[in-house]
Amino acid sequence: MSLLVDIMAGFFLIGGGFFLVVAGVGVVKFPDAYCRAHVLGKAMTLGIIFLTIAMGLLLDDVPWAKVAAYVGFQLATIPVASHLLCLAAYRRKIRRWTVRGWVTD
Amino acid sequence: MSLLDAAFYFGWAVLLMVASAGLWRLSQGPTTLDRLIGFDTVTIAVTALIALFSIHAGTAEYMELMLVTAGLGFFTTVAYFFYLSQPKKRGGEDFDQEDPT
Repeated sequence: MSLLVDIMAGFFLIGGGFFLVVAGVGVVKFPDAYCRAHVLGKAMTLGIIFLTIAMGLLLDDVPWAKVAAYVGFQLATIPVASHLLCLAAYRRKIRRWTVRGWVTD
Repeated sequence: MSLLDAAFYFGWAVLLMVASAGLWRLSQGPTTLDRLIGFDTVTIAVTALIALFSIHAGTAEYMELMLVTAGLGFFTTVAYFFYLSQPKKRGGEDFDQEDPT
């Protein structure tokens, strides 16, 4: 039983680390503000949820209701922040990057 | 060193890298929104670092600290969004212009 919990915790740790690496590379390498807000809202949310589940698996005295509340809080706030950043960029008429070049609208 | 410890140290290295990426974007971003995205990245990385430190310390007393840090990052973003969506006053420039290339 403990071995199974350790294997699941290692899986969640490595999965969360992988998604956070993807998010960090995206924040550095993506071309414009919309793409960066997108990688902030998707990959980073999944990575931090995985790390929180790993914390709940590895610690004995953590209540699962608190872990669920924290995961729900992150699911509610990080995409909203990403959406607000995209909305501010759209209202300021920041140019977009598409596969056919830069677009200003 | 077991495989779980290896995954744990991998998590430390990854989070330091993500925080460095956020700081780089915070210093380099061509517009103000890119700097705000870098700030949000640093906040989330700090929250995940608190989670890893909680595993390292072996206690669950840092969950409230994680909640407070995540809430601070989110409300900073929301407050700055409402500041940016105000009409510009007194002709002051509050927004970095992009390079024209």
